Amino acid sequence: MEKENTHVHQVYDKIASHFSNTRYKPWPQVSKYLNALPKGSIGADIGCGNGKYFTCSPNIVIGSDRSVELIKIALRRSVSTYSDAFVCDMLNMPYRNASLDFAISIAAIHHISTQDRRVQAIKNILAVLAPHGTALLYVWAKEQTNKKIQPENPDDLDVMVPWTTPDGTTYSRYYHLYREGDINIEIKLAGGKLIESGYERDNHWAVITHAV
Amino acid sequence: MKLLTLNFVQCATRDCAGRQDAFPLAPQNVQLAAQETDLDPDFMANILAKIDWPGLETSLNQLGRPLTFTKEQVEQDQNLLKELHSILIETTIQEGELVCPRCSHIYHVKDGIASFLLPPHLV
Ligand SMILES: [Zn+2]
Repeated sequence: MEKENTHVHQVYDKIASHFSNTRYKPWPQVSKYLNALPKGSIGADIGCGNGKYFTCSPNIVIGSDRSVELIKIALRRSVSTYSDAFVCDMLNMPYRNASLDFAISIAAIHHISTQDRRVQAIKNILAVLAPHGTALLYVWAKEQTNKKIQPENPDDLDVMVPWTTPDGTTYSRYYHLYREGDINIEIKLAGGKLIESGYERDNHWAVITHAV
Repeated sequence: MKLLTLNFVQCATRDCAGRQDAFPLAPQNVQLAAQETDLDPDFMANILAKIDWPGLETSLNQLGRPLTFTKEQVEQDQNLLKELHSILIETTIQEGELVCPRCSHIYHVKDGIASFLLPPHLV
């Protein structure tokens, strides 16, 4: 938890504006998911960062992020009539239970450092979905080839990844890397059901719903 | 924070998470703002079923702006969609507090941003 505080929460508040400048292109699979939802859907973007997915959704996106600096940027740059955002931790979310048609959580769960708490995060996402609701999750893949990301010990799944801001300061961010199938295990432990999954841009993705 | 969002959040403390009586959060000492946006009538019609209407009525009473129509009336009258749009989408809470009706925990809204981060003893 201390690791997340120092190497996730504090880092994103410090690198928010530079990070945001590098995060503007939506990933195709995410756009596809958001645009296939029925008109008038209401959902959450959990770990929304600078809100880059607000504008490519034709529906209502209520974003949340642990970093207040990123939420400030998300609300400032948001040009979508229907988006909104607030600050919260994904392990203690205020979204009303069973109220949402959809949720996306893109590159966020992998910042949590224990499996118990990652499973809890997925449980929390399922809890806010209506019975018909689905969620799209993206997590960093162990299989990616970027050398900067590979741990010294090749079997290690927990890594520190550097981020250098234009003024030359380097911060390190904590990531848990997922091997193929790892996210499916956590989804099952959380009581979820896998609808569809795949690999895109160094990430494993999965669309999930309630296991009935 | 939009009034629409107020209708989709509840208290997140360990004791209140997931409990229906920890909703809606009561706005207190708030400053509201209005931001004009385009109305999409079909879109608004589609979200009617997703709103928690008793919660919305409570929130608007607490804000001193009681709702002047029912869900059934909006379904029958397109003009009321415009009014609902202006309440839910155009009206934002800029400053103030949101109080849990169950445990009285206070969440703060500053510069239009609500924070639901909790102190360690409440998670
Ligand atoms: Zn409470």
